[in-house]
Amino acid sequence: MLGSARKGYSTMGELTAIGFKPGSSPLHRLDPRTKQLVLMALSVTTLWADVPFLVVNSMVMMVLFHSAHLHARRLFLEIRYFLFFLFFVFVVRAVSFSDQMFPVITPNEAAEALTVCWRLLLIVFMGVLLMSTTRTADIRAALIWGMKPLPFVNERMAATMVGLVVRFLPLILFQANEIGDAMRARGIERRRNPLIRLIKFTTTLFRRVFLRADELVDTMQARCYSEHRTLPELSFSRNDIIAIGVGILVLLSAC
Amino acid sequence: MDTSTKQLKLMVYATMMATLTAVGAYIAIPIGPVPIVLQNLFVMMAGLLLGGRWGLTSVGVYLLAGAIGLPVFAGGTGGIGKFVGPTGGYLLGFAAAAYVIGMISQRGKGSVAVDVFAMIVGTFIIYFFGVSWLKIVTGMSISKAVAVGMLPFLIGDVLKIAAAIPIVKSLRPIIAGNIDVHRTGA
Repeated sequence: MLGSARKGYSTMGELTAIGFKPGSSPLHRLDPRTKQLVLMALSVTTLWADVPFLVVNSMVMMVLFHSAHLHARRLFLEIRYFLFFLFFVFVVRAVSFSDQMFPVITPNEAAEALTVCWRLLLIVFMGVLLMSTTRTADIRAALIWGMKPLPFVNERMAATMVGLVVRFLPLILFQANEIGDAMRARGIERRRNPLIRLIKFTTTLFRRVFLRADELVDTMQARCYSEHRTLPELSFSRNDIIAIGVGILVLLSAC
Repeated sequence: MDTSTKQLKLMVYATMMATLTAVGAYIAIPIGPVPIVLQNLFVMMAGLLLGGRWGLTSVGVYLLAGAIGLPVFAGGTGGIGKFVGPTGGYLLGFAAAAYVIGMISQRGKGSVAVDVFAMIVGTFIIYFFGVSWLKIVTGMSISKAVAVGMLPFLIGDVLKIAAAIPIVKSLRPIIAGNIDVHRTGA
């Protein structure tokens, strides 16, 4: 949708293809609340875990990816930007400088750097697994359920706002590209002051977006907008209890 | 304008700012050798244009959208795992920065000097959260974390603050025509 990076204005990525993939795997059938709870617990544990836990966690991940029919090649393609970041983290962690200012990599530091990268990669994999096996509407409903006890948070308004972000993200991205193209066509790249590009681009984009916002308000009012909308029904099942049990066992292997 | 209409307008503006923040993660403008990503400029503008409370709401919705897995974070990623990943600190810093920038700016009632001060404070809040978390997660020394997670971006931040002033000056009348953030203390 966004096209490749071009001179002048460029997009740093594209809307990722990692999204919900319909299926009937055990993960697909779980309640989104269970998945989010287990994911959060495993993510936090993984950050400080040792190699044995990472091995167990990686094996569980491989089984889950296989059962959800997610292919490794596509997965690595989608997270390629994050892999660059991991490489950067590895270099910064592993390379030190000798007295003569030569870069040196010791086996111990390299092993530690690899462990850090392994942990970060697993956390990203867990996020991908959740996104690929859970509908956005279900995750949204789970979040509303989770936010209910929070004071000062209107969970229904938050859900409506997230729904609008989903709707307008591709439209505004498209507009941003259009503005970039229009400015290039008018020779913005020939302006010497680099700030001019930034100011002109941002001002135009914001003006158009706020104009659209006013239209949206009128539209919502015309359709008698209300915060009370029907949400998907969530229910815990026996599979959720089993999943939480497996999650606890995996967590215990970190001790 | 009645209260419910004003509330709805603020809600929609905050949503649009959240969407723009997400869009900012995708767009880069090459100025010098390093392209400038617009995301934290848009976070600062959320605070400046909408005030503390709605600026925070806007960034909160952006983070929530990312938490449920929408591809709104840098590099087109999303998911709750990003919050405990190496860049999770910056994400939380965005929320704190938008709130503080908005609160300071509201007290300045549109003064350029106060707005600049607010953005400098906000920028350091983002780095405080971001670099601290980066250090914890990757186990780097504080000097390495600062060298990797803060110093390369400071020049870009100065440019963004310089650009934000005229942008906000031209946009405030549009917003103020509908909701007066500074007068209502929204």
